[in-house]
Amino acid sequence: MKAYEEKLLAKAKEDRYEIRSDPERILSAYERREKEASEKAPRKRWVLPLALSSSLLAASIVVFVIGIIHDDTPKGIPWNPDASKTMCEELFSFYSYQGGSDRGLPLKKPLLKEAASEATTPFYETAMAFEDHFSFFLSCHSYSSSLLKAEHVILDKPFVTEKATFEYKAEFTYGDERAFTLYYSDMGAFLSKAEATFRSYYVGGEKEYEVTIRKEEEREEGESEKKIALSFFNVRDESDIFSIERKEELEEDESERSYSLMRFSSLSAYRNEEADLSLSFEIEEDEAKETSFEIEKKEKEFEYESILPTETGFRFDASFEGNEREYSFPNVLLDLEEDGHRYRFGSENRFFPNKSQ
Amino acid sequence: MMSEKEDLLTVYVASFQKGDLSSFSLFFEATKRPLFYNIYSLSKSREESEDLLQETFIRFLENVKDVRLDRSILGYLMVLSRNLSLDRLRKKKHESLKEEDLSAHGERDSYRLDEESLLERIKGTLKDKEFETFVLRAMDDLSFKEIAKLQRRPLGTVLWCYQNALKKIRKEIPYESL
Repeated sequence: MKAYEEKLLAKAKEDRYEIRSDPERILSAYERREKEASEKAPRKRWVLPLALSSSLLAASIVVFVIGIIHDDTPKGIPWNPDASKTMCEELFSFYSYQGGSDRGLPLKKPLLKEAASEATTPFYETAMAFEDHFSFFLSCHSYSSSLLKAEHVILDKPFVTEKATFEYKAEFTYGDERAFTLYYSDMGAFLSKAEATFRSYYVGGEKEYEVTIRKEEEREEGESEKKIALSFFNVRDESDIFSIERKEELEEDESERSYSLMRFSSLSAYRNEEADLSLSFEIEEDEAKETSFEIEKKEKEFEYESILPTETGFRFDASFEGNEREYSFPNVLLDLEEDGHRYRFGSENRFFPNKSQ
Repeated sequence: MMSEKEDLLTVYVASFQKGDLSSFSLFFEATKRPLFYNIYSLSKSREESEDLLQETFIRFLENVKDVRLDRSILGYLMVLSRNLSLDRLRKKKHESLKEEDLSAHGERDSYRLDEESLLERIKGTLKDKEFETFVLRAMDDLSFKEIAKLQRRPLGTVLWCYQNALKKIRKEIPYESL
C-alpha cells in the first residue's frame, strides 16, 4: 500500500491544475462591489419621492416590485424589505407547508396510498414522517430569499374584513411562480418598535387566513434574541389554525436559528398550546452548520440530527420514539431522485414517488 | 510549516484591515491552492470552482474587518469557501431537480471535456470528505494533524478517512494503471 500511495501522490502532483483565477481581477471585482454598495444609499432617497409623487398624481394603482432582500425601499409605501424580511420568510414557510405548488422546489406528495401497504417498520415510519414534511424542511434548510419577491399595490378601495381594514396588497412570487397574496395596512409601528403586533390577511390558493404577527427583540451585552411569531386563522374553517415561530439567537461568535410550526384543531387547543402536529427545525450558524429537524405527531416523536447535504441529497442520524419504544437510525441517506425520494438505512431501502407518479 | 504560513497570513490580513491591500497577490498565492481543492471537492467542475474561489476572496475582503487574527486565517477561509460551495450546491439542487440533469443538454459534459485527469477520476471515486482529505494531503502536503485542525475533525477520523480513500482509489485505479 505504501508504494501505491507514493506513486499515486507523485502522479497526482504531476496532474496539478493551473488555477486561472487572478488576484488583480478579484481586487477589481471587490472594489467594484464596494463602490456599488456605497452608491446604493443615496439612490434610496430619491426613489422614494418619485414613487410617492407618481402615486399621488396618478391617483390610481401604483405598483412597486420589491426584492425582499436586495431592493431599495420606497418609504412611501408602508413596507420595509429589510425589516420585514423575516416576516416574509415565515409567510413563505407557511406557504411551503401548505404544499405550495410548482415553484421549483422539489416538493413531493406526502405519501402514496399504495406505498402505505408496504411492510411498516420503525425506519419506514421515520422516513415517512420526514417525507411528509419534506417541503417545510426544505423551505427552512435551503430557502433562497433572493427568489422571493413582492409586487406591492396601493388599493383603490381598501379591503375590509370583519376585524380590520387593509389599504395595501402584496403579491408574492417565488422564482417565476405566483405564491401568495398578503393584504396589510400601515406597518410603521410594527417596524419601528422592538415589540409589536401586526395584522394582515393571507390568501394562498383557495385558503384565506387572518394573520397576527408578533415580534420581540431583546438585546443584552454581547447577546441578542429576535423572535417573530405568526398565527394563521382560517376564515372559513375554525379547525384550521397554525402558528409559526422563528427565533434567532446571537451570542458572541455563535448564532442559532430555530423555526417551529404547530397545527391546532380548535381555538381552545390553540389557546392551551395543545398542538396536534409540531415541527421544529434548528440550524447552528457555525462552521459545521449543524442542523436538526424534529416532528411530534400523535404521541410519536421523530428526530433528525446532523443533517448534511450530500451530492445526491442529504444524510442524517434519525431516531423515533413511540409505541413505548425508542429506535435509532444512524447515517440515513436520502437521495433526491428524478422520480422521487429514496431513504436508505442498512438493508432498508424505501422509495416515495413524486406527486405526478 | 503551517504555523509560519499562518503567521505570514496574519500579517497580510492585519494590513488589509488597515486598508492596505498591496500584499493581496501574495496572500492569494499562499492560500489559493488548498481553497481551490476544498471547493473542488464539493463543486461540479473546475470552472465552477474557479468562480467560487474568486467569490470566497471577495467575501473575505468584504468582511476582513471582522476576521479575528488570533484564529487560523486559512481555517476561516476554508469554512467560508465551504459554506459558499454548499450554498451554491443547494441552489443548484433546486434548479437542477426541476430542470433535470444538465448533461442531457450537454452543458455539464462541456465542463468536463477540457480535463479528464487523474484527479477527476479520483473525485469520481470518492465521497466529498474523502476527496477533500485526499487533496489536502496530496496537493497541499498538509500533515494529518493539520488536516484534522482545518476540518475540525478528530485525527483518527482523518486518518481513517484517508486510508479508506486510498483503498477506494486503488480498487478503481490499480498500481499498473498509474
